[in-house]
Amino acid sequence: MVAHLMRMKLAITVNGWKRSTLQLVMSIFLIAYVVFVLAMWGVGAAFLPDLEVQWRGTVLTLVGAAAVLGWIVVPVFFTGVDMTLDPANFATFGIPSRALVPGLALAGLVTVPGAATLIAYLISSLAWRDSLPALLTAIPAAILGALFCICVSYAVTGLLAAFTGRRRIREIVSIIALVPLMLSGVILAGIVDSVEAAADRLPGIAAVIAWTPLGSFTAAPWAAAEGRYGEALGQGLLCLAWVAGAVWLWQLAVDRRYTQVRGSGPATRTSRAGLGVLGSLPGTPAGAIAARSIIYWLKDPRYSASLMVVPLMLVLFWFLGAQSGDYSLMLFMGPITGFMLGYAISADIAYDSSAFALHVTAGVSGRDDRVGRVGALLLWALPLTLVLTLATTWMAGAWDLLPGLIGLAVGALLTGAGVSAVSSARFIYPVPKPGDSPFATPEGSAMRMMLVSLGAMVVLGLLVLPELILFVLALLTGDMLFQWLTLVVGLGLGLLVLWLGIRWGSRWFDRAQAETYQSVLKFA
Amino acid sequence: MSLPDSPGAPVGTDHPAPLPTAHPGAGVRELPDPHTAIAIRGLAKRFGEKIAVNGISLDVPAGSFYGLVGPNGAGKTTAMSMATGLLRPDHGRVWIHGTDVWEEPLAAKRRMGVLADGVRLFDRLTGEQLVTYSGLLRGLDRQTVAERTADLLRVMDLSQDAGKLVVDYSAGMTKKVALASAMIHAPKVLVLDEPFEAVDPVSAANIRDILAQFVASGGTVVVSSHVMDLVQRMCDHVAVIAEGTLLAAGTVDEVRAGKSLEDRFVDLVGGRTNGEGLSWLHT
Repeated sequence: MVAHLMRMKLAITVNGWKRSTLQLVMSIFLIAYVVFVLAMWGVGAAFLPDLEVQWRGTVLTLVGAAAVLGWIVVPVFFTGVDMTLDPANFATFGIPSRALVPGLALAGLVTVPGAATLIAYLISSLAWRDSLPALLTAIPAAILGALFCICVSYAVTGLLAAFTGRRRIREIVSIIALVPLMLSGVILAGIVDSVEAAADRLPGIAAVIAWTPLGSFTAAPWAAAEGRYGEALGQGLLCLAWVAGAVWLWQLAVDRRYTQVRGSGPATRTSRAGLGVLGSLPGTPAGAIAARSIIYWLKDPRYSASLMVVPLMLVLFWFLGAQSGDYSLMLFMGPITGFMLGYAISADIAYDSSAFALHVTAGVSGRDDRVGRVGALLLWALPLTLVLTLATTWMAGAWDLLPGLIGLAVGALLTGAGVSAVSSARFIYPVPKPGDSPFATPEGSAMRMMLVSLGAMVVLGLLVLPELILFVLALLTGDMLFQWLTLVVGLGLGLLVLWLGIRWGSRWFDRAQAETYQSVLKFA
Repeated sequence: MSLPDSPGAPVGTDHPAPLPTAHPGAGVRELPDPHTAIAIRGLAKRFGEKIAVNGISLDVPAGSFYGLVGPNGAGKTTAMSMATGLLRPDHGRVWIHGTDVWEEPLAAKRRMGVLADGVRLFDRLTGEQLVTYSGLLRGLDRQTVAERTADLLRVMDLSQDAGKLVVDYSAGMTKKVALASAMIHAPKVLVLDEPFEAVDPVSAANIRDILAQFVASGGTVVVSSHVMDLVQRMCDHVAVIAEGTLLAAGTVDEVRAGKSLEDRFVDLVGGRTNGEGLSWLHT
């Protein structure tokens, strides 16, 4: 069973390479990068025995904790998890999740991140090569640690996805999931007074983390090296318990998904009469597209999930401000929100999936399509960005920065919308399908997705550079003239980029409608 | 490997079936009669090494109920995608009532209602919203869209579920609401890829009635299907496609030449095995 799943995972990866050379090249780059990082870590770990035991343990425990946190946070907020072996695909085989999940966990070790984590853990045990008991503890703990990372990341994303049907609950869960992250900031801010004091306290912090799922895997050999065999045993048992717990949570998520597959989705939603937004926006093609986009922003978890980041960031910045009593960090909110929201529709057509066929067969013009989608975004994103900018300026009491901040925030939003108007028509890449978890990465797409979004981000960054430079000048000189210049340039340049983006996007859309649809279909 | 520029005899000449409406190797230059609902000349498409559609020429007369049959992977969906503006052909042209699909796409698409196979709908909309959306996309005014949406939902027996999200619809309801979206702009021609797949018999019968009425009022319907019986009963014309080539086309009676359509189809396409093998399956 386990061998089967691992072989299947490998076969799917290799077939992906055969199908697309680009994917192969991407994978080679990724693997080369990972090998480089591992080599660096190996060099570091080789020098660790020069440190005294306490510091060695502290460093390893904290790095281990960061790795575990990474496995939890990165999939939820950035990449999603690899769903090549989606448990839902096994629903018809009647394999109990008790047998399936451990198999999937071990199969996770043959993915690039899984294998890299295992190797990194094993390399870290080299740091204990001068103490036999520690080395003997480190190796099994390393294997358990890598397994725990895989299981916990699938468990967290799986449980979040299991609640996709009930959007409210899912949003609340994700917000709660961020609480530990925010608390970590508070803990650091609360405990750390100065860098020196921090350095003294790190071993203490590590000693506490050692008893949590974040640290047990790397802390157990530390205890063994110091001859605290009782503690080492306790932490070793905890390691087993953490892995068992993560497997159990993952099973829970899989079981929920099984029942969803069998019952084909969540129970019927309350039916609502009337057309909703579709009835209130203008009855033109562009108006209809805008209305449909707005409905999707509200009803499709893939869109609403990307919205969640805004209130989370607000809370986080406010918290940090409350800690230090200086709310100037909050001033970033407006421009960052504008930047993110403008960029949010950069894969709009890919998100339609094959439903985009309706736009093709209905003969929608590029202008209507572009204007509708961008209009839907600006309709709520523009007021939201403005209100956020005003509110954060008020909280920070920095009214003299308001013109520049508005110029920067609205400029970033308009420029982002303009860039998206081109990129969503021009670059189709795999995105989570409708109804899928917003946290799933489509097979073999991570690198391509990252390249396209990185490219778009760089272009976007370059295009907002003029107002950014003006704003920085305003901050440095304190001259109000630069504030107003930022406002004028931000709005003017933003509108220009938006207009050009819609023009180019429309032209491409009209010329290559069928080709665009075919590439969407390829990933559907 | 090169594709035939002006495909020579795409219709199997070794088959005795009469082929009154197929135009083997017809010149691509001449404009077809605008009364012909769909005119296809030398349509071809290649995906890498595989030739999916190998030069098909076909006339679908206005007011006909045309069936398109062929084994899996015969190129039906590819051909229909090229005829409806979803896939750009490598060669050949398609006219809808005299309008070239790839030269005047907007005008051609106004005359066409399309139901593509296995395609998602905007299923986070309610049934009523989806049909309305489809109407507004085509530039109809709000009043007309509202009237037709109500009519279509009533005829499709979806009025009760108009406020339900399409994602919660059953397979049959989904096909019906997709059909309603394809008909709201009162097209002259309906091109439907596998409209009866995964549809229960009652819904299928209802859809069939709606299509028959559409044809009776002068519209043209092209359906692709695997179910020969259905095509024989429902359609008045039929075309048989296999391996990207048109094997036979004409009225159903002409093509089946006295046999049942299914037997004739197997004759044309071949590939029947004599049921041996799988000895372990016999208990």
